[in-house]
Amino acid sequence: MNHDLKQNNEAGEAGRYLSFTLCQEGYAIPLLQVKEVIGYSDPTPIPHAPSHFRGVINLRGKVISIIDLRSKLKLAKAEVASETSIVILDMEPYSLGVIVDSVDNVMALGRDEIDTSNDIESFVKSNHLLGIAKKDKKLILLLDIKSTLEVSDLKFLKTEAPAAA
Amino acid sequence: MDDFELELRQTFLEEAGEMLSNAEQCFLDLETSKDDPKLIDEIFRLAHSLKGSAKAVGFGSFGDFTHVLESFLLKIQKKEIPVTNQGVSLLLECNDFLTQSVQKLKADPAADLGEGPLLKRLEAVVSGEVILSNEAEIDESSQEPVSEPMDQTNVVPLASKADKPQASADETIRVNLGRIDQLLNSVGELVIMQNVVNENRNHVTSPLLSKTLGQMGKIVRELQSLSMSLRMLPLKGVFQRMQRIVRDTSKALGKEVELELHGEETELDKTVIERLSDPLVHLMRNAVDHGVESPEERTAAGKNPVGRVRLSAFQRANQIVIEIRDDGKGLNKEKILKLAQSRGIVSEGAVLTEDQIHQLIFAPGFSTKEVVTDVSGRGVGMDVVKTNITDLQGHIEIESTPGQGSCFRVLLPMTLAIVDGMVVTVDDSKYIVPLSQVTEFIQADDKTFVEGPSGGEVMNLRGRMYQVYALAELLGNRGKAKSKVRGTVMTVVDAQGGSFAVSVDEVLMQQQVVIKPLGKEINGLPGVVGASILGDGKAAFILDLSELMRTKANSKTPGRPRGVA
Repeated sequence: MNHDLKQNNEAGEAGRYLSFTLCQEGYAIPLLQVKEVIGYSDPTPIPHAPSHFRGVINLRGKVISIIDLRSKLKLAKAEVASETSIVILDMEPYSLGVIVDSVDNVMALGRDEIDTSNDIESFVKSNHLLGIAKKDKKLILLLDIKSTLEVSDLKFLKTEAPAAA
Repeated sequence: MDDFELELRQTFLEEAGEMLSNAEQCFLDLETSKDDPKLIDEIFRLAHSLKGSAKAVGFGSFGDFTHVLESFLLKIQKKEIPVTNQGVSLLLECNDFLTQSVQKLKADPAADLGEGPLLKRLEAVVSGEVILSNEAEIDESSQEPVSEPMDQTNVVPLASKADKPQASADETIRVNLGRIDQLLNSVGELVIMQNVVNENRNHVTSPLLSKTLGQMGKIVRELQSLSMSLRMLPLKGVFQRMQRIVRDTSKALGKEVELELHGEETELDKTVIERLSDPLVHLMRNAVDHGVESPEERTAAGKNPVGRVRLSAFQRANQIVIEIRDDGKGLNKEKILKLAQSRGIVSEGAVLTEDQIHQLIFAPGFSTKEVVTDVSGRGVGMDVVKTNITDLQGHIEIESTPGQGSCFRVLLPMTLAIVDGMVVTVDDSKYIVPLSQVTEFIQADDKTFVEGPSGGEVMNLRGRMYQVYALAELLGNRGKAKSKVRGTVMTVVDAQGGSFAVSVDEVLMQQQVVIKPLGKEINGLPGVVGASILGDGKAAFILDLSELMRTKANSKTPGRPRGVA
């Protein structure tokens, strides 16, 4: 089973995905990388952090860093609405959550529903995509969340923090 | 043999039993993962410290046996002897033997361990006479003298076997620290929930419910202090080590020193205790080496030739105070200042207060003794002491009277899991400032701030000038920073490099907060010690104002030396 998970995470493999919306576009990430989905609550800002680092929240006693996925993907900013949600990711040793416009549903994608060819045109850099899926006449971008939130980017503190002061 | 030595032996036997049970697990693990260098290193370390301690407390034959065992392990570590099944069996046999020996020595410190036969086998293996293979156990008997099993049974009289379970029956259980932390976490959550309930008590109409909620609150508080106490250990163990240190140090220096211990029962968080040991050893050695004079000097000064060092611990408010007081010659201020100037730690002609001069001995690269001794080292230690204590959120103070002695006072928080903090607001965000960093809170008005000579704002407090930093600026909140500074409350902070002031919008309340670890992605953020959850359920950062200030200062004027003054 573990083996299966890996494959599912790495490439645009068949499996279950959590779909959500950003700027009216459909996105999805492998369900196995999702810990839970919670409603939006205002994060506490982090001193000296880059702007997509929105802050930290309290999740049942744990401190979780929240990243604005729109800002990270260089999409237009949005006001917080009733649909706005936080997807808590399973990315040990990091405790991260991302803000999305709305969480839609969990869907199963077959291998034949996913297009992993490289010539996908979208706002998102293609190396951040696992592939693209067509579901109910809608295109859904399968996001490689790990590469999107590159680890080197997470470790902003050593280099960026003093400069930002 | 005096009581002290008896107690040392007792402690050793307790520790040895623990180490051996650790070692046993390692040996068993070794069987499955034969070439895990970490495992072998761990075993080697255990054997090494066992040997050292055994010899130190006078268990000669125990130490000798461990010494041979250590050479065996060394060969394994260097891969001169491969790890085989038989080898592991032999190691386990040795482990059993040592465990039994510990039991025997507990009953009778002079007991004959009967290590002969096993020792011989071990020596044969070490010298390479006997090669251990991976074959099953049956093979082993052909290599061993037939009489061996007989000897083995002689070594362990039935009586001692029967003793064993009794001796290990204890009134304590060992619990994984991780589980305790989980418990603390859950209890912390409970406390926050309780706060929410308390704030909404007036919505409860049923008197029974209201009463029950009150009682529950009481239990929750009890539960909290109880679970906190699980991490607390008495200082006794550390203090005992100090006895040894003072004894050895004074002997090596030809001094006579009497050590007085007070407050060994004082409790501190386990993590604090573990990290306290090294700096304390250093301070104790320092007291004996640099503080107490030689018997001749003492007699000449009309003092008792026997020096006195007093190590005491006590609780003061929410801090634990550990004092190391000697009746030696005291710190020589002129000498310290001169040396610091010659080493370029302070500039010539700098005017320093007495306390500032004393603190100079913690500057990197400082040693007051002209001759470097192998006891107190080369002065690399004192700055490490300071760093260690600072890392523990503690402070160190020095009091010294020439000719009468010095007192090093270490002030520590009771636990690293909880911090006494002040909740402050800046630009509508709440932050926690540990109380230990703040010396004073001052209500500010327009007249408080003055334009400073080198730019920025300064504040005059009772004739002393403080550079003022706005917390919003320190936190990098650009844009809206300046607007609110005027109507704020000031906090004056005693930093490593002197004092300065920080202005915040408002000081809300004092609160004990549980420190939560940060995820790896933001761990190590400059100026942030950790985070906590406040009563409103929101996460808030716990700040290190000194670090924030230094980060800010460094970014402004790169390459500016961090003066000690």
